Amino acid sequence: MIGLFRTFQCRLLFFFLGLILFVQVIAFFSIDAANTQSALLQIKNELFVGGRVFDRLIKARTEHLFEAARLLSGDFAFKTAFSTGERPTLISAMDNHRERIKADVIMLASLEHKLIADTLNPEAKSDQFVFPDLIRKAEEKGEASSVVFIGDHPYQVVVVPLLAPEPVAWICIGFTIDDLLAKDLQTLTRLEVTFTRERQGQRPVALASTLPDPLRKSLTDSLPSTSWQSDMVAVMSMNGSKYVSLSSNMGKSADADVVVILQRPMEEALEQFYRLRKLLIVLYLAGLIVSLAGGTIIAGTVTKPVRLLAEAARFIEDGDYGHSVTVVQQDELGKLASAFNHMSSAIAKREEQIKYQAYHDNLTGLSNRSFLLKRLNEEIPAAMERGGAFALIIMDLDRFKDINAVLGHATGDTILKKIGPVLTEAVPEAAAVVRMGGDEFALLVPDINNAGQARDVTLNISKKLESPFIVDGNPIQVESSFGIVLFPEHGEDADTLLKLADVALYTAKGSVNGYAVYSPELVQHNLKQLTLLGELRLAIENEEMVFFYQPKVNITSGHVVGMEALIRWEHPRHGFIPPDDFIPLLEGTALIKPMTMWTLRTAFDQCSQLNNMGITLDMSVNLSARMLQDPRIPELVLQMTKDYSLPPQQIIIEVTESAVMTDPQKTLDTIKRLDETGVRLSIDDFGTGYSSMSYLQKLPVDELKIDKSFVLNVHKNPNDAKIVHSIIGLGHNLGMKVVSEGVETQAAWDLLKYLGCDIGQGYFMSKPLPIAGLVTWLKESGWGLR
Amino acid sequence: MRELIILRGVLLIGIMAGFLVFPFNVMSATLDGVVKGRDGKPVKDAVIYAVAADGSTHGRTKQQEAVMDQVNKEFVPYVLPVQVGTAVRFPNKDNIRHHVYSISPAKRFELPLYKGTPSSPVVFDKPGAVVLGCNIHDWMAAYIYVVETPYFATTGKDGSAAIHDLPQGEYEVLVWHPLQKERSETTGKRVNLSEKGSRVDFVIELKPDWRPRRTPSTGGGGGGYY
Repeated sequence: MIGLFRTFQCRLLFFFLGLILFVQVIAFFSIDAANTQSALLQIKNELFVGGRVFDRLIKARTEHLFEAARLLSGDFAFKTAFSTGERPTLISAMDNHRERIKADVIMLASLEHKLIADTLNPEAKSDQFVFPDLIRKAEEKGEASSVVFIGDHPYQVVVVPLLAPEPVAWICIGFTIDDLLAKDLQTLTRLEVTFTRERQGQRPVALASTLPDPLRKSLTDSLPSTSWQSDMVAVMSMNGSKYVSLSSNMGKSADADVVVILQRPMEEALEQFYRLRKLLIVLYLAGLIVSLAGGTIIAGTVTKPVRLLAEAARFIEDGDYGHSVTVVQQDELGKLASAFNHMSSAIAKREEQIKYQAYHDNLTGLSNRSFLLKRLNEEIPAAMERGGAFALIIMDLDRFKDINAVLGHATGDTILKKIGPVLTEAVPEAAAVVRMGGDEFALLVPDINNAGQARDVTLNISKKLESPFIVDGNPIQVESSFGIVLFPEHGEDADTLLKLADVALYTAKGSVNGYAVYSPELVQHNLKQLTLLGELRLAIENEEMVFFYQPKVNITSGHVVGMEALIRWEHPRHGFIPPDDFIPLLEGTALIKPMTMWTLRTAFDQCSQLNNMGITLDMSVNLSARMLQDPRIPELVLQMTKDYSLPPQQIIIEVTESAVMTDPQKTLDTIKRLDETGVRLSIDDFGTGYSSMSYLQKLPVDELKIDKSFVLNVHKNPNDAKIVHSIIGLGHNLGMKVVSEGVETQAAWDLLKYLGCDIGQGYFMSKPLPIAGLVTWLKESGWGLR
Repeated sequence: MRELIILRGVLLIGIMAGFLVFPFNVMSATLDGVVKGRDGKPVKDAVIYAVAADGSTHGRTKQQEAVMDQVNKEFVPYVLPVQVGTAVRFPNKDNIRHHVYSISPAKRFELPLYKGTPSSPVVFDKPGAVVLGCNIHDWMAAYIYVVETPYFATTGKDGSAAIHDLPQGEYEVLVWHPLQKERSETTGKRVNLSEKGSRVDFVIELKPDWRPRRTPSTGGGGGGYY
C-alpha cells in the first residue's frame, strides 16, 4: 500500500478519489438527512393540514346538526305536538323529523333533565336523562354539542332548547359515528381516520375507522393505554408500516372519551424520497467510476511525460544531448517538454561554447593555458609511449607594457592579435600555439629532440617578427624572448615543464640573443631571485643596502657638478646585486615606499654632510615609476629638504622616460608639483621610451639623460651619434641640460663635447663609489670641483 | 301616551268600583315592593303581588280587560300580570301579521295570523304563567302572569313597584319573574299592612335570559342564534 503512494499518479488518484468519496458520503448523508427531515416535516404538515380540515369538517357537521335541531326547536307543529303531552304523538313527530334530517336519534328531555321521549327507545319511561352534563352545558350556553355513547355506539349529539317561545324542553339530536363517517372524512382530509373509545383502565377500542380490520387491531394495540394528549403527534408502527399519527380528543364524558386518530402512512410520503436516494447512490457510484477512470487517464497524461522528462534529464546528466522528449500534448506538460528539448540543445550548445572558451583565448582566438595543460597531459603519455620528444617554448614580448602604456591598450591588443598568425605560421602544423595571458605565449612543438631544433623555431619566429606591425598607420617593432624546455630531457610532467620554461624565459629576458634553453643552473639563479624579495625587508634593517655615488662632470669645463646616488645591495650570500635586479621586484610591493623614503633620506643626509664639508654638489636621486604615481611625494620631498636644510635646487629627481609615460596625466600633475617645490627634474634613460614631444614640452624638466645604450658606442656608431646629437639639440631647444650616461672612453668624451652635450657620467670619469671613496676621488682625480 | 290614558281610565274605573262595593270606608294603605338581584341590581319586570291572609279578595276585581300590544314586532308589555278571569286583547299595531300562541298549561291558545285587534279577547281563567310567543317571529316573547289576587304591580327600572289602596291587614306578598330561578308560590313574605303602609324587599336569582336576540333588521325572523 505504501509502495503504491510512491508514484505521483497513485497519490493523485487516491487523493482525488478519497476527496470525491468523502464529499459524496457527506453530501449523501446530509441530503439523506435533509430529505428525511423534509419528508417527515411534509408528512407532519399534511397531517396538521388534514387535522385542521378534519376540525373544520366536524365543526361544519356540528353546525349542520345545530341547524337541524334549531329547525325542530322552532317547528310550530312540533311545539303543538309537544303541548298535547301525548307521548306517541310526540315520538312519531320526532321520528318524522329525524327522518327528515337523516339523524340517527332524537331525544327530548324536560327542563328538569328527565327523559320525555327517545326515538331509539319509544317505550322508555321518564327516567333521568342520560346526558345531564350536556343539558347543563346547554343551560349555560343556550345549546351544546358533544360526542357521547349511547350504549356502545358513539354519537355526535347536539342539544338545543325547544322554544315556545321560552325553553320548555331540551331537544337532543344525534348522529352515529361510524365507518361511513370516517370514510367521508378521509376523502376530504386524505388521512386515515379512526375514532377510538378510551375508557379509564381499559385498552382503547376502535369505534370506527377507515383502516382495515387488522390494522385497527394493530392501532389499538400500539396505542398507549393511558389517555392521549390532545394534538399529540407520534410515529406508530402498525403491521410493519409506519404511520405518522395525530390525535385529538373529541368528547369527554364521565366514563369514556372519544379520541380521533388521524394518520398518514409514511411510506407513501417517503416513496419519492427513496427513489431520490436510489438515484443518488447510482449517481455517486457512476461518478466514482468515471472519476477513477478519468483520474487514471489524466494522471497518466501527467506522469507519463514526467517520466519521459526524468529519463531525458538522466541522459543530459550523462552528457548525452541527443535524446529529445516526445510529448504530443499541447498543455503545460507539452510546453515543458518542448522547453526541456530546447534547454537540452541550449545546454549542448553552451557546453560547446564553454568548452571552446575554456580552451581558447577570447582576444586572439588562440588556445589558452588550460588547453595547453590538457594538451600536455595528452601529449606526455603519448610521447612517452612512442619514445618521442617535444619542446615547450614560452615566449613573451619585450617591453610590451610600454606599448600598452604609451600607445594604448587597443594598440597592444591589436599587436597581440597579429602575433597569433605569425606564430602559427612559424611552427609546424602539429604544434600548439597558446596564449598564456598578457603578452606571454607558449608553443608546444612535437618531435623536437634537441635544443638546436627548438632554437631554430625561435629564430624563425624572431625573424618573422623583425618586420614591424603596422597599427593605425604606425610601424611598431616588437621583440620577444623565448624560454625553451625539452621533453623528456628536462621534465616529464606538465607542471615541471611549464615552471622550467618560465625559468628559461626569465633568463632569456636578460640575455642578448633573446632565448634561453633550460639548464639546471638557471634554476639556481632564478630561485635566488625569488627569495630576494623575502630578504629585502631584512636587507634594509640589516643595512645590507649601501649607497654608491657616481660623479657627473661638466663636459665643457671638466668640473664635477654633481653626483647620482645609486643604491646597491650587498647580499651576504649572493654578493652584489644591482638595483635593476631588485627594484622591479620591489615595485610590485608595499615595500617600495619605505625603501624610497629611506633612499631619499640617506641621499639627502649625505648631501647635507658634504655641504657641511664644503663640498657643494648637486644630488641626483632616482624615483621609481610607482612612486611617481604617489600624489604625496612632492610634499614628502619638500619636507625632507627642510629636514636636511638643503636648498631644493640642489636636488635632482630622476625619473625614467617610461615612468613619465605610464600615466601622463597623473604624472604630469605630480611632476609639476615637484617642480613647484624647487627641486630639479631629470628624465632618465631618454631615447628608449616612446616620448611624445608635445608632452615632453609641457614637462617642467631641467635635464635629459641620454640612455647609455646610445652613448656606449657613440664614437663608433654614426647612427648612435646622430641620435645623441638629435637629443642634445632637442634638449637644448626645450631649454634643458643634456646628460650622457655610459661615457667610458676618451673618444666618446671628445665626441660628446663636440656634439655639445652638457654633462657626462661614466666609467671614463669614475665608477660609482662609496661616499668615502667619492670624497677621496674628488681630492685625488684630475677632475676638480667648480 | 294613549296607553297611559287607557291605564288611567282603567284605574279610575277600578277605584270607582271599589267605592261602589265598599260603601263604608275601609282604611287602605300602599304596599311598596323592591326587587333586587343577587348582585344588588334592581330587577325590572318582576311581578309583586299580595294575597290576603284569609284568601279574600275583598270582592274586588282589578280590571275586566287587559291589553298585550304587539308593537314593532315586540310584545308590550313584556310582563303583564292579570287577575284570574281577565280578558286580554292582543292588538297588532304592526302592519304585518302576527301569530300569537301559548302552549303554557295555564292557558293554551293560538291566534292564527292576524292583523289589527282580534274581535274576541282571550280570557285567562287559570292562575300561572303563560308564555306568549309569535309563530312568525321567534324572538317575540311575553308573559302574562295570572294571579288570584287583584293586588299586584310590576317593577320598573328601579326594581320597585307600589300596590296602592290595599285594605289594612295580613298579606302574603310574593314575587314572580320570568327568569326567576326558584319559582315557588310558598316563598311569599308575610306582611301586616298598617295604615302607614309597608315595604317588602325581595332578592331573587335570575337565570340567564334565554330569549333569542333579535336581529337588527326588521324583516328578519328566523336567524339570530349564536
